[in-house]
Amino acid sequence: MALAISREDTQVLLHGKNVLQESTLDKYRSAGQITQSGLKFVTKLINDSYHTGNARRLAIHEICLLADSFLVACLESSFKTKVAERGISHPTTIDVDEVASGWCPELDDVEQLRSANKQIEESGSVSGCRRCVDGYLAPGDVVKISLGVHIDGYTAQVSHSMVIFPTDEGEDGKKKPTGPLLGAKADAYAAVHIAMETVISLLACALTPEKMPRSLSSGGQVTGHLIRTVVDSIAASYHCVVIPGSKVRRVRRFLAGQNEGIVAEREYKGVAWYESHQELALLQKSAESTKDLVAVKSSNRHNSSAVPTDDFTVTPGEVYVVDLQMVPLDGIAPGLVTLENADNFSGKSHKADQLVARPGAYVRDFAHSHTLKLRASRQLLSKIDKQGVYPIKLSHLSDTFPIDVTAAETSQIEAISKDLKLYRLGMSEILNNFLAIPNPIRIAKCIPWEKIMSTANPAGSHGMDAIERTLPGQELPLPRLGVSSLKLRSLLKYAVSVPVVRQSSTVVLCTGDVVSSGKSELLRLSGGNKTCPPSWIHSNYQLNKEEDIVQGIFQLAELSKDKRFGLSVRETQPLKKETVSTGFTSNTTTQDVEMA
Amino acid sequence: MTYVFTCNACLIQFRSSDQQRYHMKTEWHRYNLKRKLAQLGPIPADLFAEKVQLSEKEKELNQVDEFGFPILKSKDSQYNQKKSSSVKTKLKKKRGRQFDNVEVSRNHARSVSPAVSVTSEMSKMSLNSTDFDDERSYGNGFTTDSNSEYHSSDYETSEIEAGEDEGTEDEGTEERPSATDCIFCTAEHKDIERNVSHMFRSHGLYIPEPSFLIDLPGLLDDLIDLIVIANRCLCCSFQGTSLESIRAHISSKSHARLPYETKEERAKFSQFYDFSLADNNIHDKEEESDTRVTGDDADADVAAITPDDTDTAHSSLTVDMNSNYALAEVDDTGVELTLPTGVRAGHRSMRRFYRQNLPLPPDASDGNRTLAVGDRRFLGGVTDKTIRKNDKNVHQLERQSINRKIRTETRRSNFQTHFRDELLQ
Amino acid sequence: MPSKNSINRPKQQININRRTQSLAKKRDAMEKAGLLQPARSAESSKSGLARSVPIDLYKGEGLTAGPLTTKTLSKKRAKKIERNLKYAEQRKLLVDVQKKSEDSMELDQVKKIEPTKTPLERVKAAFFKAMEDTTSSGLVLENGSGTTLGGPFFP
Repeated sequence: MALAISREDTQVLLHGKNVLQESTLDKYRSAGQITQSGLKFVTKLINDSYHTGNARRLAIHEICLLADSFLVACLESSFKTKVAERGISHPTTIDVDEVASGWCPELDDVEQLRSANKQIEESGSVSGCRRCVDGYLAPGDVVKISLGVHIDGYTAQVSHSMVIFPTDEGEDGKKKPTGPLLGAKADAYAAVHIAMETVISLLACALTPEKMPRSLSSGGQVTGHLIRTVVDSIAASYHCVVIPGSKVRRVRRFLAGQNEGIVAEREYKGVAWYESHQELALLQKSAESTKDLVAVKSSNRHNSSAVPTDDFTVTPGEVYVVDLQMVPLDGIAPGLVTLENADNFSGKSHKADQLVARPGAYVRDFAHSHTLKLRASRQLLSKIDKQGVYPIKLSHLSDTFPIDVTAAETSQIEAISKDLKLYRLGMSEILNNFLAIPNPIRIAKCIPWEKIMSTANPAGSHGMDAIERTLPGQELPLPRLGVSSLKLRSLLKYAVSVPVVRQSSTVVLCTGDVVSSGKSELLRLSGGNKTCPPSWIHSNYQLNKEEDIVQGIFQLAELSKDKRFGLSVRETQPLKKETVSTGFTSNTTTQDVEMA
Repeated sequence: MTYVFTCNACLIQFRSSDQQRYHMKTEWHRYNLKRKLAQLGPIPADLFAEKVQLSEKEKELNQVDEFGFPILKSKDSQYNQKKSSSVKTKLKKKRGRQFDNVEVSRNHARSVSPAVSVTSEMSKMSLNSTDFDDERSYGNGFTTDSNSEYHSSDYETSEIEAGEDEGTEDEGTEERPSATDCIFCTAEHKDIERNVSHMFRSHGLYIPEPSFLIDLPGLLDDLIDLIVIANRCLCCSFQGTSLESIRAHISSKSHARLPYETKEERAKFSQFYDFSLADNNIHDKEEESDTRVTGDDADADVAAITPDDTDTAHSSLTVDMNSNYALAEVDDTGVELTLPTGVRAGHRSMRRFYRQNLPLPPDASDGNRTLAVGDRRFLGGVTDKTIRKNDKNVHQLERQSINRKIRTETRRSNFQTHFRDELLQ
Repeated sequence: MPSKNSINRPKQQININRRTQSLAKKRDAMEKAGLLQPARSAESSKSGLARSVPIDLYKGEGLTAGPLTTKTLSKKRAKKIERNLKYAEQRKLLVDVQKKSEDSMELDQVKKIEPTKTPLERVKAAFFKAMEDTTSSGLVLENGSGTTLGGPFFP
């Protein structure tokens, strides 16, 4: 980057601004409030249009647009003149089933999706790609809603999984779910939910180490190893696996993991799950003596502080994002769960169920500079630069954005669509010069181990996937088997899609001096049972109470329930403002008919 | 009839070379020379005399001391001045023997300089007639014969004063005058206040910051010690041989004032002052003194500049003699001066660098800057793959070039017909 | 150096050089192959072999020039030659031993190759074993009541 920044500024930006103060906490809290309200808004939209039937069925791209508009409208009123930068830190994505992240189609994507994916069809239990193509949700889907905002770089993000139920009339005349979600998806849902609550309680233990359960205690500190062990053991008891892209990491101002894999972040602190961890788990499960094989020679191509390790301790005053994604392994051959990036190149010899789609969100890579040739792209780039370091959608750049949530008009939609045409033109040049990197649409796939091990791998570990976004030091997905990510990509043809359940939440570990009560507490900026209670599911599995770790997990749950002597965890509540979204949803019923 | 002896500056002719030489020394001639340099025509002698009269009058009106106060001349000294010319010869005859050697030594020291100094005053006067900074220069009225006149009048004045003091001289040196006696003349007063007001009115002794002065008798004692006993001047390093000589020096140079400008000078008198007395109204006082200082030195010096708000806040803590000083700082390189207001002035020698019109660096938002410092990629946009590829390419190129060199060298060594020693080439 | 198409290219010189070089190359090859031994007129002929006066003196050979000679052998030199001959003998013995072992003990060598397994192979073996384990132990019946979250309402 061509920016010259002095040492003092570096100190201020990386450390000074991240010291938790009351003003900082205020910004975090308002960001959390807006995030919570956004999440509430989206769940209400989905409930209204798919469950209660109060409104017309909304398509995914409409929900995304409405939610983003809602977030921007909320941001308008908070910290209006006090901060230089505020905005959406994570455009609203609505991922169904096997789509793990990144599904936020633009208005003009709908037609293209339909024409490019004519042959796609539902395959068994997972139907995320099908939903993506036709744009509407259906009963039985696990829908992951992710969104986030930042105020002055202090970021709050949330992901919540929600089940679309078949409905029937209750006794009081209201619609209610026919029954709980069963099967593999329910297993993953339960596992993710429990893991989420446990990790947050664990993080709260970092504030009061004396309350930590004895069975989990590792020197009175909450370490990365402990977090990984706990999450992995919960996943294992529900026959799930934590998929790549999950992480429990510290976030800092403007460094909230929004461009992981693009930026090699200095002083990375967090636990991240990768393919290599599944490989390691399998290796350790084996009866063979494999102690000497476990160690992997670390790559020396990177600054060591950018390579994540589990050797860290959670300390008070930090902000963490807990982002857990799991897939159930029931009913499929043992295999490696990995993520496939959907692309929009047509004409390749792909399988019938391969989604052809282009990413909706982009991150500007400020390390690159290039003089663009097209005027449209230059104008677009200057607009993107103004948006800052967080992912953006093209529709955010339009002048008509945000649209009026309560009374959206068709003219606004049309204006945005018109702007999008111009932006697409410019965006292609920007993307070709790597000035912006698309936030990929990722689809969870499970490759059977047999295929991985029986494949010929003459190139060894030398093939590197340049477009793969990974943390530094994690370029090789299977270091012990020596399988490069290119090879792994070629093996995806044997893979089957698996449904993903995701929960994520941002928490602040407040020390006593920044909160009004004077008692250190964990502030949960987003998520939580009050704002987004879990959907009705039932899993056949449960935690085995004889295990040490599980006992510790139960103790943690008890502690977090205990208001007086337990862990103090508070949840940020959504804004009080009443947000009725009837306008757009009801008065355009005619449009719905046309689109359907 | 034409004369050979001319003055081109004044456009006049002389009968003899003596006359010409004499003319060359006059102020009129010097003034005309200046005019000639400024490409103006010469002015006749009578017009010049008029100009001098005029400027002198103006100067008398506007005479100020270093602090901007009008200098009040004692009437008797003026009277003495007037009288001096008329009774000059008589006085000369009458006395002067005994002080001759004193004054001769002074005249010796001065005889080199007055032409120069007077010229400079003169030129200043003529080009900018309101700028008077030394009241001494025209004390003796202008004649064409300024040089000799200057000497004689100086001599006379001191002689007169010395004569006046003659009577009291003995007791002055033998017994110490009390605080009610004037230091600069023989006058005696009933009390100290009258004495001080006399010294202020007649001799121009201004005692600064009277409201903070706690030990007036002590201050006067100190002055008596310095002037009457030690025969030293307050303002300069003049060492008088006797009480008369130091008094003559003080009155002729108008050195009857307390030097109260630099820190050192203030520190000398600080024992007689107590600034902590007026803690409650310190800010008012400071404002007063500030305005005073600015009034004096607005055009003169940067060393004394009104302190800004932060400085006042600071100085209220450390109240002392020098509290209303705010010093300008010159940085290590010596080309940048930082005023207490925060304004920075650069030296003229670096003008070239200050004048350049550099574009400002782009004001990146906090987000970009955070990302820039948080990013630890070695180079922008270089992936592992390309790095590895480049490494390989470089190795290959290196090997190729080494091989080529070896090949060509071995071949070339055979091209020469005879052995050629490389060292002898 | 004149270029290839130059008019005053030393054509003859180049041709000569090339021929000399090719001949030299052939000769070198022959020499390496040991085909360039000179024809011997007698068994005892030593022409073309390395010749050493001290060794001759030590062995007492080829001293046929008469009673008067300038060839000498110092005591030190004699000691060195003696020692070197001993070493040469030992080398010869070692070669014999190796040859013998190669000829006689073929059966042991097959065993030696087997344990050199690469880490990758070991990893794969471990993986296969682990997968067999999991597939066999996959059908563990959960006898608990399971886990239920949420309830019959829309959150």
